[in-house]
Amino acid sequence: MTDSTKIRSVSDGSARGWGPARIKKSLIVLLAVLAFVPLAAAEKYQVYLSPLPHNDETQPLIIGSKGTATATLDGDTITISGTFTGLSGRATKARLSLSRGPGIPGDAQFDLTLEGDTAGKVSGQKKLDASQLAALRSRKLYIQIDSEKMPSGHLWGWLLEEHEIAGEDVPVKGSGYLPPFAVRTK
Amino acid sequence: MKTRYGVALTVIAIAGTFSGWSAATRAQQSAPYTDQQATVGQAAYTQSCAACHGRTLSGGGEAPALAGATFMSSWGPHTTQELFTRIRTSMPPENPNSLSADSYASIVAFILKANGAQAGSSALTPETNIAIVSVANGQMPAGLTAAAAAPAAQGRGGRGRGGRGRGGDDDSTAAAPARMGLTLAGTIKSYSSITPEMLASPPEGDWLMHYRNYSGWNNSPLTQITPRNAGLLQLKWAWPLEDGMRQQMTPLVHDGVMFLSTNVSNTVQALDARTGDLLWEHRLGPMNTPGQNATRTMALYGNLVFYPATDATLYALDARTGNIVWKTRPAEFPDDKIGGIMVAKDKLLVGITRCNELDAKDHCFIAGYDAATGKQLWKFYTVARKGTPGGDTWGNLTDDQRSGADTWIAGTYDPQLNLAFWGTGQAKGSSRDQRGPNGDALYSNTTLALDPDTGKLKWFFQNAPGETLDLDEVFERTLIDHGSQKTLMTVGKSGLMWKLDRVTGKFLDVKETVFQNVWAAIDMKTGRTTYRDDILEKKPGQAVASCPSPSGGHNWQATSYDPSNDLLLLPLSQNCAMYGGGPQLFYEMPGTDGNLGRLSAYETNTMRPVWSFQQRSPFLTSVITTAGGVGFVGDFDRTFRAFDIKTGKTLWETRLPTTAQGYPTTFSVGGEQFVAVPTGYNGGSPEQKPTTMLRGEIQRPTIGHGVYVFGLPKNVN
Repeated sequence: MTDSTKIRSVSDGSARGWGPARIKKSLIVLLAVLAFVPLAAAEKYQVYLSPLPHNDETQPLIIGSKGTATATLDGDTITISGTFTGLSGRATKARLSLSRGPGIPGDAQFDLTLEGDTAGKVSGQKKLDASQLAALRSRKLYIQIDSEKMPSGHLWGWLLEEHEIAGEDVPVKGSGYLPPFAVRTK
Repeated sequence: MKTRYGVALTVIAIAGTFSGWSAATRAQQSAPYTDQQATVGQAAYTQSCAACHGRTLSGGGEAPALAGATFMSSWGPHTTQELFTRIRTSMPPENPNSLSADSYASIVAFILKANGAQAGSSALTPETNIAIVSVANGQMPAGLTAAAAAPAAQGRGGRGRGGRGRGGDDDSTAAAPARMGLTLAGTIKSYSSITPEMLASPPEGDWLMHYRNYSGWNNSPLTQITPRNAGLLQLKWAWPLEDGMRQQMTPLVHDGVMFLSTNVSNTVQALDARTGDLLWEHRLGPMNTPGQNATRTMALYGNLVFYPATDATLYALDARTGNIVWKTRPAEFPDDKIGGIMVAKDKLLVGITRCNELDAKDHCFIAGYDAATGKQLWKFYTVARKGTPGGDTWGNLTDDQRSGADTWIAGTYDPQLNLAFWGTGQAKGSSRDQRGPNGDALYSNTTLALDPDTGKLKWFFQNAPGETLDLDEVFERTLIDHGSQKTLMTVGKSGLMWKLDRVTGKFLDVKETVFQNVWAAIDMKTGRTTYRDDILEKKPGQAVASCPSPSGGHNWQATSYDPSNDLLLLPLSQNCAMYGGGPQLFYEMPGTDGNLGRLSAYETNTMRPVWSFQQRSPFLTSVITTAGGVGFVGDFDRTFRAFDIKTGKTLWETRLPTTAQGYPTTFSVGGEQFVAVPTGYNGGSPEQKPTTMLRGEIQRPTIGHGVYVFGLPKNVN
């Protein structure tokens, strides 16, 4: 806002007609405005799909299984698209679930579409209600994929706001991405 | 609709809570095992399981209780076959399925007996499949484990084949040494007596104490190794240590002499720190003491080296010869262990741990000793008893039911304030539902400021009031000054990095250093934390999600403070667990993309994160830093690395024979700077949980305890 105001005041005191100089200047103003005024941009989320809680007995079933997904919120419609690989058995079901927060098991909300076998794709599109939108924005929604070998859940991953992914073994400035959870009160 | 996972947990919890306990009061039918089988099982249990689960099956740390209410809540609804399968496929953790089927069956028989099941006429087999709650009520027969709880005798050893217990304390790979005692007498002439002044301002080339200085910095003023030449580091010498049990020690160095210890035979060794030549060796014994505990700390003062043996005997050895000058046993109960030790001025401060015996007067404490004579001067009990300050914070529990607040990590010391700072572990039972309706449970998970001369408590700050997820706040208290402000910083298992005023104990600030989902709120005025509702409402046998897991976002792998850049460097772990409903179920921490290890640098004045580094393998050594601008850290996957303190960029790395584990140190002899790192493959949760999560992915030998010493090539010096 500060920048556009500043440019407008310069413009007000210059040429009056729509000559090339003014058109050029107006384009610059428009670009500047576009650069600084956010559009009603889609919100983007990313998901690491990793194995559900496992013990020594089930650990052999989850070795090497993983996936990634992205989610885009356009208005109140969420579109999910992802891939998975390395399951020890055929993927049987996928759904979007609601929990208290990242890393906490919760309740299924609606089914997602599965393609493939031990590797494949997961996708879905759904209009979210107000509470689901709030849940999404507070990192309470997660994708879960079940498999024949792990019917109670093989992979899961929370929809987290888009963030920088540091390569393994590469230091990043700051703390890197740490999803906030606790409310700080005074 | 609940997920099937959630449904399963709920069903188990409800079954455990209602079906189990209603059944507990009804008459028990004969169980499918024989008395003889249970006796065999007790012996097998003592050898392979008691190290972690306790000789009285009371559990401890992350090892769950295998008898009583907690066990029945978790396992009552399950069958004997499920218990057999669980134990066989997961225990001992380092080597599952390493015992015979008969042995596993006999251990299950013993567990049934310990939970009140009546012996019958037929032996339990792997196929026996009967609901545990139908034959057991959680009531242990009187005297069943009394013999097992007798004091550990000197010379206990010579045991035969034993599976590696949890953490490997019952490891069988170590052959009995040819003889015990002073196997090589020392004649070190050029050893100067360590004075209180030297402890307050350590000689540049020495590493005199656990964290190198009183303030807990793990920082050396040595400058020879720099970011420019660290890539040239090379192995100078190596020294094997006895394999088995838990190897997490700190090589101490003074006047060119390095002191090492191994807790398999409780051997202390002095080596020439430049060449690795053995100067003296004292095999103190006993061998393979039951009961999990790592010996992390020794201490030096005068001409003495202090060693806490695994049977809780505290030795003062002559640092020049290895001879015993004095010894004492501070612990009060047979299973108690010595945790951290430190010297403050001329006092030896000793923390006691594993003091878990419920319904007994077994309470943890910190004790002060005259370092020169071994005379005990004072004791400070870390569990507040009725009628004492804080004694009303344990609800209705009797004094003997109050347990925990272990002091298993060494403290730090401010000579100007004459205050020693210690952290304590969680209350036990570890969860609120085990302890019953209760309060903050002082002084568990607390920062204590004690007068080292009297043991008087000057102030305390409870970092995690009423803790319930085995998330200790026991770790090192790092003392840092910002101008005239004297602060104390510490990081607990939940990954919260605390800043306190160390003069008054006043809360100043707190920061999350890994993702956590256990604290729903933090009061930034008082520092008081509030759990998630479902954690507070947890019922016996119910599992709740805990990020970090009880292995900790931070654990005993100590931090390092670099005063040049005001950076606190934190080795961190990123994993979660379903906790409290039986065996812990592990999973990756959200937002980490499977990186279990994190190393982060924080500017302490501002609490601002400066850089972070993540990798798949968790870090299992402390971090050390040097005035040369180089830091060092080692990990589960055998990598030991040097990094640039300012950026986190790796400067050099090497692979060791097995996991880098313990406390690296750096020192100089004859003008040459060296870096020493221990290796070890057994341990508690920080070592075990990665073992579980990375099994089949990262292979590492379960042999190879040792110390590796690196330095620069001669021509660089």
